[in-house]
Amino acid sequence: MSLPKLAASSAADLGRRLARRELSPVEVVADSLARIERFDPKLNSFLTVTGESALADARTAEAEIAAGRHRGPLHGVPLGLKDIFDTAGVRTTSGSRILTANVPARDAPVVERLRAAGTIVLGKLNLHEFAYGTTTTNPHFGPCRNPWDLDRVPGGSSGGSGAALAAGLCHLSLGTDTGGSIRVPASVCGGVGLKPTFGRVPRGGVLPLAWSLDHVGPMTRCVEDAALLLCAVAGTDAGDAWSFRDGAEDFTADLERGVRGLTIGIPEPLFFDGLEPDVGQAAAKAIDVLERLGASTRLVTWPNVDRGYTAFHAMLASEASAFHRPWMGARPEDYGADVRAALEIGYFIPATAYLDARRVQLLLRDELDMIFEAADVLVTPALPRTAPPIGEPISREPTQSWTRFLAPFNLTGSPAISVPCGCDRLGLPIGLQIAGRPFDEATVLRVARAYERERGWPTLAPMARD
Amino acid sequence: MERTPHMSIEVLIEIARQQGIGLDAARALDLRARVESLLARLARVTDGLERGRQPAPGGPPRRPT
Repeated sequence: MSLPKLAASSAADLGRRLARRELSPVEVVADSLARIERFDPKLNSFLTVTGESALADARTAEAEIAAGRHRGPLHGVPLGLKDIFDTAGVRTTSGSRILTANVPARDAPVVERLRAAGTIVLGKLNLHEFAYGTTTTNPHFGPCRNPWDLDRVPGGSSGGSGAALAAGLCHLSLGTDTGGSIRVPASVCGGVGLKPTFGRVPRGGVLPLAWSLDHVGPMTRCVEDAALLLCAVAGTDAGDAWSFRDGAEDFTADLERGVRGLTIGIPEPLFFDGLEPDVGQAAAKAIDVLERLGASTRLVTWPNVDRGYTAFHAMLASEASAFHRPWMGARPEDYGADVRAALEIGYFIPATAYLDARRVQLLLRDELDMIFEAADVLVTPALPRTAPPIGEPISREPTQSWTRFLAPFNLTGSPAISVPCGCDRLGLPIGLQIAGRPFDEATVLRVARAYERERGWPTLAPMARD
Repeated sequence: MERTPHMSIEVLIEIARQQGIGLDAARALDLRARVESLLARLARVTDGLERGRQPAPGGPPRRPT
């Protein structure tokens, strides 16, 4: 029997109740497993469920908390991992046929950190094959479905994470974002997805897509949970040469400070072009809310941002194709059609073109640094549209791509979050993107939290609310 | 307007072969249009970049002071 109020609870609230011993981790994990059994046959969000080990870990957490050995605010909270993070002794497929039998010997460093924080791994979540796409219509493990409308995609590549959170199957998830793969599913599934600053969270034991664009970050149902999860996984690691060499920070400290005194930049061009009308209205209302809460707003110009998507595409294609070259040479037929086609392009991009793309990357970084001298954060729609039906073709053309507002922040490495900001006329969630200065996740989270507190959100998709 | 000649299918197949990637003529034909489109777009967006503009370094962005 599943307990809907428990499923809808934030991880932070759950952690507080677990610490007070009002709840047992065993009860919480059993509830999540019951919900997975009940709802996931419709969603296909989990590729592997590790029920026995989750219950064993829950019993350990229960004993530790009872003995006064409390590990922190997430101790005993269940979580699902995108199936791209190495997990010791547990199959890690990256959503591919090629790695169907891959069983890592050790946990990725971020997974080690999550276990040290006392979170309990429920299993591994569906994703777009090799994280190279935005629908999670996976040809090898079946399509993952959006809990808000089962005929629509949950976004991707971390689509299983977005779907599982929206259905209350887990309370936390960890995703990856190379061009929007955390923020797309957060936006279309009505969740919170934070792409931290590049280098903030180490990527060892995470299958790469594009080394210079890949980010690891939290996916949750509320902003406080995202801050707590970031606290648990941030910090340098020798296994990632590009991880940031600095100490950990408390990303929860400023959450409730509100937005009074902050300046919100509304960037142009690009970010408000070609929107579905409901998306445009929801974003405008969200900006009004932030103004009403005391923020000032100003239009800011990002002169060359429209060059960004093509540069991003060239870098992504080149780096992904380099990583996949051995498998593309030996067993190309084992890739899904869309990923194979995307990978093939990268073999024909000259090094000169790749370097020109990286020149554009630095241009955009420099321009954004200038913008952030006049604004504390930027606010944009996360996506120009809500979730498309499963099977609808997704364009990678720069003016058509539905990730065109997200990828510029992968190029710049800036932190960016998607938070829910309403639904369209079909009842499908809309996401608002808030981006900040490098290493200023605290302000991004603070603005997101101020908006969330004012706006409210039902947290679970209708199918999962009973 | 002068039309840019297409890349040769044979050359595409040879470039792929040198990288260990098998490519038949049908796939190469489909791929050619996508490659040409991306490279043309990239040429447009990098056109006019100032001469002193360097590539972005690897690693995290600069932390504001």
